[in-house]
Amino acid sequence: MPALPHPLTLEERLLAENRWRARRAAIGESMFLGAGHAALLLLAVWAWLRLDAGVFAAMAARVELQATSATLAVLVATAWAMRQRLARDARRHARSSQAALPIWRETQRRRDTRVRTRFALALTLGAAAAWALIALHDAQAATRIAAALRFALLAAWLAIVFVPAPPLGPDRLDAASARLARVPRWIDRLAARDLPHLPQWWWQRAASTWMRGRAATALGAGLLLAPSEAVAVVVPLTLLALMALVNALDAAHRLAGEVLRLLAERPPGARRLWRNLWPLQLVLAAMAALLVLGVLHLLGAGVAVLLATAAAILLIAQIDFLLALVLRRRPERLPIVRLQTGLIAIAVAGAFAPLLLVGAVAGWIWLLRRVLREDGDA
Amino acid sequence: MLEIAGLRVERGGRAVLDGLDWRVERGEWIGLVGANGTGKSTLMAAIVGLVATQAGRIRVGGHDLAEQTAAARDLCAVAIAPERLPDGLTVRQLLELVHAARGLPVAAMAASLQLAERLGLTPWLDAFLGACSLGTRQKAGIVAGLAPRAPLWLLDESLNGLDPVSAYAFKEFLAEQQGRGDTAIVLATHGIELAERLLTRVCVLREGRIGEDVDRARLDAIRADPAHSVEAVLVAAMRHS
Repeated sequence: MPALPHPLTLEERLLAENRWRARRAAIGESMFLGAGHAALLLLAVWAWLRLDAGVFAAMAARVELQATSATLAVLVATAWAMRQRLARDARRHARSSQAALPIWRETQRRRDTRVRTRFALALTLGAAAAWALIALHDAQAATRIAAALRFALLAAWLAIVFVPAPPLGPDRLDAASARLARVPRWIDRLAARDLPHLPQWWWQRAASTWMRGRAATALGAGLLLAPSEAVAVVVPLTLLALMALVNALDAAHRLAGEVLRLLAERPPGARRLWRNLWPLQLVLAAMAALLVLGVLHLLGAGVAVLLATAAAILLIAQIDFLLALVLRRRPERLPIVRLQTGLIAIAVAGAFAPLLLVGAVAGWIWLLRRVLREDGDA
Repeated sequence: MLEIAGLRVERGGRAVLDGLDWRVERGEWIGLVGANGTGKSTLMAAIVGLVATQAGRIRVGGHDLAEQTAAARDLCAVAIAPERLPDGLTVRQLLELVHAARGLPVAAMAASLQLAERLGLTPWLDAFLGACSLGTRQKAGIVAGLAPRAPLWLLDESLNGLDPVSAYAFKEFLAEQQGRGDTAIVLATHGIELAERLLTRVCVLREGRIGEDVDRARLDAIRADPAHSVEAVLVAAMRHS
């Protein structure tokens, strides 16, 4: 049998072509998005450069001491992440429109190679970017870290190439789907009466989305930090958990549009959606806030900073949630509006920071009133 | 074409199919009927290896599904369920995807476009699937799924959502295909009125197995008897459970 292209590879290619076409058709918007993201990136680099450079020499010394354990940790984490990616790809295929197509051995081998290559590329680029960011501060420390971790990178590549794909029969895929479908019991307590299953569905979809997201694969990066002191263990793990929660929140907010399709016969209005989803949304946001506060506390932040941070996280999450509800019929607009709002917030903060709080609260009230005004079902 | 022996499939700890034996030959157009939850869709999915089986053997065209999955699936054409279609592709792109993934000859695309024309899908070829109605997505799933013209066609509730004109055209198309004698068509459906005129065999799923198998001779006998209707016979068979 000739080596046919894998349907997922074809689908990805066609979807990318369509996205590119849509981006070209809306050239003004695309340029704004590009410029906006570039501005945010520059701001992030600027903030990074303001960190104390002395940290990196200490970090280099620690990495040199723990090079062997770091290599081992990277090997295990990369092997695990690679298997997860291959399993996820198989699950994605099993759920796709082409699940019943014959996939010949050579076709599957090529698909696996593609998944492995992309992972290796992402890992290498990530390592290079991390190295460049450290080198911007302290070139000598960056060189020492790179030298200490050269075998870790090699171990990661070897794991990516040689780790076998997990068994992918329908029994395994069924079990994995069942695991993802499990919902914690406390979710039921947050459900309203009129759409009792909506929070469960929201949780399931958000959970499966973050499993596909960055948090799982960031584990390797987290393990790179040597566990020589409590903060060095707790902070990266807490940050990973935070990434997972932020991913879940982001996924949950973006699902507002999908609810309309799910309940196509009688799509609920914004007010009804808000009423059914706000408790779970608040719990997720509060969990994210708690994690951030934990990290800040470990780093020695004062009570005022902690309170302000908690309020900011809850407010930002609320505004994003309400924006997603308002834009539920045009979910593709959400990233653009998020970027616009973020840029405006940064500009306002740069000009006169206290105004940002007033603006954010006013924006939240305005959005809430707009959502609550939409009384009837859509 | 299709042989199933002792098939057992459990979903959520419950045996949906239990000890199911079944044979399907080329030239048959089988209606697979049964009450809700009797396992029609599970059986259709099991035939192409999309659900885990606890026991039994499935052979398609002599290929064991568990051992030679790709070879067995290569003999199947499965209409794609509308909810599985990717929103971000156009109908034409979906067809191109299926044709490329199965390595079909150029002439096959002409045949697919012809079927699209018969089903009234042509005006929607360049529309995004996400923007199509349920009926249009159903048609797209049928045309894409049947593109390979493999010897075993599996259609799970594929008439759902089709407008009467398209449904009629599709039934005529299936009847023509059955008349050629080289294809086995299995249609899981609640539309048992099809049995009055078109189907060559009707199998009633009951308690996890084929509870009633109404073959061509028996169908012809019932059709010839003005005192009976196939629909009434099948409803009685389903009620039996």
